[in-house]
Amino acid sequence: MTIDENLQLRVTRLLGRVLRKAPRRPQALLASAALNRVLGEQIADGDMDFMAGKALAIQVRDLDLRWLIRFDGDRLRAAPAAAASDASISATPMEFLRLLARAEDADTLFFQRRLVIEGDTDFALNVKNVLDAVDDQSLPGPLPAALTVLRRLLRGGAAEAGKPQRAGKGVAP
Amino acid sequence: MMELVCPAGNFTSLKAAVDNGADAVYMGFNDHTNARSFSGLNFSDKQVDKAIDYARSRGKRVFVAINTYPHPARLATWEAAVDRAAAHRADALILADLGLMAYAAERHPLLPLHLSVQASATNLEALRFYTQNFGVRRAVLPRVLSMKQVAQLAAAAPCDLEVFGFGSLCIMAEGRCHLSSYVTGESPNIAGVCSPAKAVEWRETPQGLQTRLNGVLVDHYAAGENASYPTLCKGRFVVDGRRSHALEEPTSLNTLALIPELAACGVKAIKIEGRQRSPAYVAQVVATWRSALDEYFIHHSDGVTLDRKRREWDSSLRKHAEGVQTTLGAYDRVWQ
Repeated sequence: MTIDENLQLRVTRLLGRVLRKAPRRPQALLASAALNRVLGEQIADGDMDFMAGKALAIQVRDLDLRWLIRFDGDRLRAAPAAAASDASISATPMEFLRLLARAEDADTLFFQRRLVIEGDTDFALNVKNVLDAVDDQSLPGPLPAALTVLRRLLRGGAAEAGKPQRAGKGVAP
Repeated sequence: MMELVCPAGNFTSLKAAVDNGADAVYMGFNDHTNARSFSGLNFSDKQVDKAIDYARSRGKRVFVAINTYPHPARLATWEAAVDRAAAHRADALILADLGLMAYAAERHPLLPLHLSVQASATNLEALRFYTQNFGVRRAVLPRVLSMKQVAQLAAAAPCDLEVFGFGSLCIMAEGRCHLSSYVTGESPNIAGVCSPAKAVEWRETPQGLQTRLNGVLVDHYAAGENASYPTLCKGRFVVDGRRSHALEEPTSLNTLALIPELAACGVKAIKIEGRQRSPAYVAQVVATWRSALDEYFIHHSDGVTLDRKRREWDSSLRKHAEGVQTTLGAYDRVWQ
């Protein structure tokens, strides 16, 4: 079973309305708390130190959302912001969900132009690699079970959602 | 049965490989000593122990790739990597450099050695040299040989052979490629990456996505056109007034169709490329290959059944392909 495009659109619109109307500060606090919880081991091991003094932008296409994530050497902080970033990662809400649920490989999405990376590539790649290394089955509470269900729902969506691609054949300029 | 050897860039990928049917996993340390040296990728000493425990307790083997060529001024780092792998009790080392092989054979005579694809050994004499001098037990063949050549080599090889089954293809001058060094000053042979990420720039423009390597425009993708890894070899250049993939078109190898032939000629192992990719890729590609190998070796399915199932397997693998297609690469070249 996979989620069809119609449902994707409806979920996206609903999510967009909720996020735009909800007050920003509680959203930022909640997102920051979640990040620090999920990446607790990575922070303790020094795996996030490369982020110190840098800002990563997460841009959610279709929802018109842009968040900045920073690391102060101790804790990660996420907040909606328009300020400049060192690198940015943009995708639609469904693609971010697929990445989060580990239903799809980041390089696969990138090859298919469904994930856009701009700015400091080494920095963005480091973020991707640290996130890949998070052992989702060791996450707290009901998260492992929830991610497993989400992964089943979303897997296979890639092939269906991917539009037929034009061949990258050379053409005379 | 052929051994399914799968990539692991971190512990999560290793788990995905083992849980989805890998017989063996290959990995590297988080430094320049292996050919996938990316920030945040690969294993620290603490993670190596955890990884080897996980694999071994499930009856799987772990190979450590130390397959770049030592920087002359930093030989100690590479030698230390060999000692570390031995201390972690790896099942085998995957090496390319002659000096390192001599070091490993002398210091750790009981540790099995595999010849990396980076060593580019394509003929019988080369294989004999490595087995006679260093006791190499297995060689990973470069992706330049046709099926007929693989079969001829396998018939007389003094060691086991491992071939690539799936993954991104390279320009096939493995271990000898200096293309990225030409624009970035770093070659994959010593620095461990084809395009150092710090030299890569992606830029969305109204005309499409531009890729630059150390400021040099390497490719330009129109809307809807598949992108590839930002390597010089896969870029498009204007040659004689015509813009094309002058060096190589980005494609992925997929040799599911060759399982019966590879098995018949005695190839011992199939390697899946992709330590740089996510656990999601590892899980899906490994599961597909496990099904395919089991269908052939355990269920002894007939050709018709295999062909029917292969269409499903091929389509699940195709979406992971770099570029727009999967190919048999050099295996089906009849002119060789």
